[in-house]
Amino acid sequence: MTAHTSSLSALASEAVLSPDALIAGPCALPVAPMAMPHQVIEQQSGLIRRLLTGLHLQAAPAGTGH
Amino acid sequence: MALSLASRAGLYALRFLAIAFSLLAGIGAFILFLQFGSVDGIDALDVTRAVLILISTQWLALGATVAMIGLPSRARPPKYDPKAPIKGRTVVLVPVYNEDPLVTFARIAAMDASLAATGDTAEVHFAVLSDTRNDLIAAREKLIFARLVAERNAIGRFFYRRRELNTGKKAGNIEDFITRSGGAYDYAVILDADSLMEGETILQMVRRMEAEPRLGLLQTLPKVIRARSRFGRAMQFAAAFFSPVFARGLAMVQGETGPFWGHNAIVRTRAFAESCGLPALKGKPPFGGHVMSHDYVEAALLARGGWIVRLDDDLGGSYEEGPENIVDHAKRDRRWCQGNLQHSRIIGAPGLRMWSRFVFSQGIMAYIAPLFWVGFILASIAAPLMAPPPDYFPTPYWPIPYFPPSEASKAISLAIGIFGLLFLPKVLIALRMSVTGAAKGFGGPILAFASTLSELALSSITAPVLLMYSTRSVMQVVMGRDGGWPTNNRGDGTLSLKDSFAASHWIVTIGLVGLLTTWFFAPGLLLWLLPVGLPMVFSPVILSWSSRPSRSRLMGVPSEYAKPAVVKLHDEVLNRWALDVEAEQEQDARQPKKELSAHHG
Repeated sequence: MTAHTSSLSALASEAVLSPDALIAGPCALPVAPMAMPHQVIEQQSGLIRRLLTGLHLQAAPAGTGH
Repeated sequence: MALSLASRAGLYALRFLAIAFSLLAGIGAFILFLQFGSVDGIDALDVTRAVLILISTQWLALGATVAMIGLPSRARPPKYDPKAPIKGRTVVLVPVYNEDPLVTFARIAAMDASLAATGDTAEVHFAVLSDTRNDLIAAREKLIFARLVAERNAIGRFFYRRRELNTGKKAGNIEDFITRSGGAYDYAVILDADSLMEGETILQMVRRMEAEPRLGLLQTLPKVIRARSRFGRAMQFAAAFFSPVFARGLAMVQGETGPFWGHNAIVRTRAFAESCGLPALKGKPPFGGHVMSHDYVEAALLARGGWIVRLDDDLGGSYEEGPENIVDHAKRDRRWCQGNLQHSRIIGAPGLRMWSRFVFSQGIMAYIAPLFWVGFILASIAAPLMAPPPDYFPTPYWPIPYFPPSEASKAISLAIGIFGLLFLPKVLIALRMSVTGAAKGFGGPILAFASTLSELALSSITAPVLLMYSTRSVMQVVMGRDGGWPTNNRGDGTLSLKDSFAASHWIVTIGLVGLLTTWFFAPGLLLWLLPVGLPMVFSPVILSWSSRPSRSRLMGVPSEYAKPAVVKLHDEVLNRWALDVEAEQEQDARQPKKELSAHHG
């Protein structure tokens, strides 16, 4: 058990807290933020659009040049 | 430890074997069906039906192959020291959503007592993450939480918070915790409100995480407990008797790209935070919006991030509760259906492992496969209407009629093959359990075998009804209807005949229309379709009957014969709390009378 936990237990034994005070006080979630960056979970464009883009890119060199 | 070259080759060989066998079975069914249909010439409808049966058989065969792979193998723990001192800090996350707090928080008390009983000094905290929308239930949560903290002397170890908005549902609830408090913990055990785990199991999960720094998520195989109804006990029996073998096969085939079922699992907080932030999908539900079946996606994202995701099916002491009736099962399935079909948007996400994509495709297939069976049945009813009339005199001026040879044997072989794929793995599992002595925990080999046959009979009767619910779910999702996030019904679950009829009258109608149509247009098919049509016609009776309490010795499971320690602890706490609440209510009821008499006095 950590010192933090022991001191809180002592606090609890000394005074009986109401449920609201308990939840807002010693039983509130610890503040220890951690970044959770959003991931890329879908393609930016649909399959058909990607196929068309692919075909367009393949066809493009023939049309470019001079 | 990364997979060695030899074991990687073995893994790929196993995957190849599973896929190749299922494809082979599908192709076999395709050819057999075409031979059967070739009697009066092959038309487009025959080919359509053959393709439908190919896809459906391939899907069934894959499940059977996974079981066959798991059958000869036995779950073994990985190499680690099961007594190593635990260095990291762990939090057990209990997301709740309109659940009965008395029952749920009693589980926390039981798990904490179970942890204390191990005598280990590892730091394990509990956090109740409430997404409850009902203010009355939320008020009760606070009261009972205070009691829980006082009883377990848990200030500084137990936490509670309720979100104002339940953005992102369960995944959003967990994400909210990680972003607010994740830095305080090395590991997080993720539970459902109905999860229960032995303290020793939680500690062993932590030790396994500490022994393998690349392990991002470890999933246990939860056993269903406390089932009371006929349907619930059949599910409980299947989960205890058959699932370990299927899970063994799955663990072998999936390797380090294992599953996450959303609960009864532990994650490395850092790995989860850096890999599993889920944005809402583009567009509106059902395909867009928040990811519903987030667990599969999180498993895939962890694997994409280079983390190991593993199913340790050797770990016992992991429990959950299941639906008690078919309607509750169908409601849960509706949610899972939408979640799995939504994965069609995620399957092409950049950088995913090929196996993760395959797992997504199988999840989608699990829900659309019933459509192929329905399509096959409909095409079979329509086929005689399209078929040309038989020609008994194909040779001009030849006086003796020609009777085309019957290909019924092909159809019978096909039916036997399909039923074999469904039944054989379960029968073989029963045999294995008898041979290894594991059937003792299920009342002995004879009772276990009788339970297997009963489960097969019950699942055959309920299959057409579940098939109809699945088909409706898929149609609703495809038509753009969002199923929302209904609360799980964790109560008694008994259904009256009236309620059952209200939930299944449309299945009765489809069953009756289907059988009558077959009788008129394809009478030869009627006998074949009765096993599907009759359960549909009698679905209200099946729903109601299967939801009633089971008093049979059949379907007995080890947790019924010998209650697990943590379940006993939960019973003790719950009974005590329930009596206290009853006493308080009685006192409250008497109080006004006293006041009233004092006033009159």
